[in-house]
Amino acid sequence: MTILSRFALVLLSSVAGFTFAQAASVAPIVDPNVQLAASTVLHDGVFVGGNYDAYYGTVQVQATVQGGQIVGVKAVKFPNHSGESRSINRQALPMLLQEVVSAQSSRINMISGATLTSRAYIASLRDALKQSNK
Amino acid sequence: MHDMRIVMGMPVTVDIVDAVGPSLIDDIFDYFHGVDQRFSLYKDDSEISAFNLGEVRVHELSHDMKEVFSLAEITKDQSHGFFDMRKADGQVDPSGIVKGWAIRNAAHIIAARGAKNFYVDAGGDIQAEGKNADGENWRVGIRSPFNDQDVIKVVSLSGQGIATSGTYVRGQHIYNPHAASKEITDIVSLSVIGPDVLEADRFATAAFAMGQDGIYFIEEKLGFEGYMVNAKGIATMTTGFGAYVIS
Repeated sequence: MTILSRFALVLLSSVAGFTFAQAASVAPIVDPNVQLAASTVLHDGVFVGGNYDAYYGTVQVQATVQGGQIVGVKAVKFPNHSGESRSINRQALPMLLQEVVSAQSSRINMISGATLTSRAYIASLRDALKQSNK
Repeated sequence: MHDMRIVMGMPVTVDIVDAVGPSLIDDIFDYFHGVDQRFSLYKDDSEISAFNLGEVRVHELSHDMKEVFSLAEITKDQSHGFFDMRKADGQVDPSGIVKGWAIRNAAHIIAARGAKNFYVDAGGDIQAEGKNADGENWRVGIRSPFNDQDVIKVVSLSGQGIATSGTYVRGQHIYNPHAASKEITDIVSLSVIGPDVLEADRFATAAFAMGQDGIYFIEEKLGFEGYMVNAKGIATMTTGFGAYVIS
């Protein structure tokens, strides 16, 4: 993880209601030369990061900085292939088993999970914060 | 033989249990780089960029591009329009197909070189063949959409692909304080197991876009099983999913 990723995460975790659990696994693969130290000064304003390929679509992030702190981060563009909502006749389908998810400790060889969007998200956020630092 | 490299903006892992020639791993990563060079929307000189700029016409497209376009059309049809590579601005973006297609093709290359026990993982979508180094089916964890350190399900795969769709950007909308009154029913993660990773990935992408109904879409697909997690941490699984579950 880049320094900025850590930095952004610390700040992000202080934004009320925002969860970003997956970011911890984000590899510094998008423009690794862009790094900000934790002591970086952020100027107030609204900053929009670049468009990044999440491979299912484009992610673009906007960061709002007030008093040198990130007070808001939102995605102004995110992958969304959905069209109109679709309702299907569930009466004709079997009831599907449900469970509360819980952490498993079994041995594993590899992990399936969606990581791409968050990686693109971090890259765009990095852009936005770089602008704030100008 | 195990190697992980960053290709197409994501970690790609190739693990081959069988003894194979030393060049195979390099050949596989070269293949992924070639796919990126052809299909990247972020490379001005890629074939897809040239097509979107009108510099290359349909009949001039490579066999690979035609195949991916065709798969995108099939997926659009099968998903009742939920997946569409044509964007509102008229540009064509087949990225939702390319990853699974590339993993499947890489697995075919490895198999053609004589290996029977291996996996190919690109950004968390996986084709798993044969057995692991312990002689068991491959043990694949499904990552928690809430904490990337946690695995919420472990499944046993051999001769199957698994793909997971999910995004924290959508997740962020769920917690939007300005829409706090809205009932939280959003889907944060949907994993699909199928005969091959291309099919699993195509259906996971389409089903995820359908929201809650996506798991029923998978249920209706013969040979496919799914595990869907909503923002409340409740999972819904298709009727045959349990057969794959280790824990």
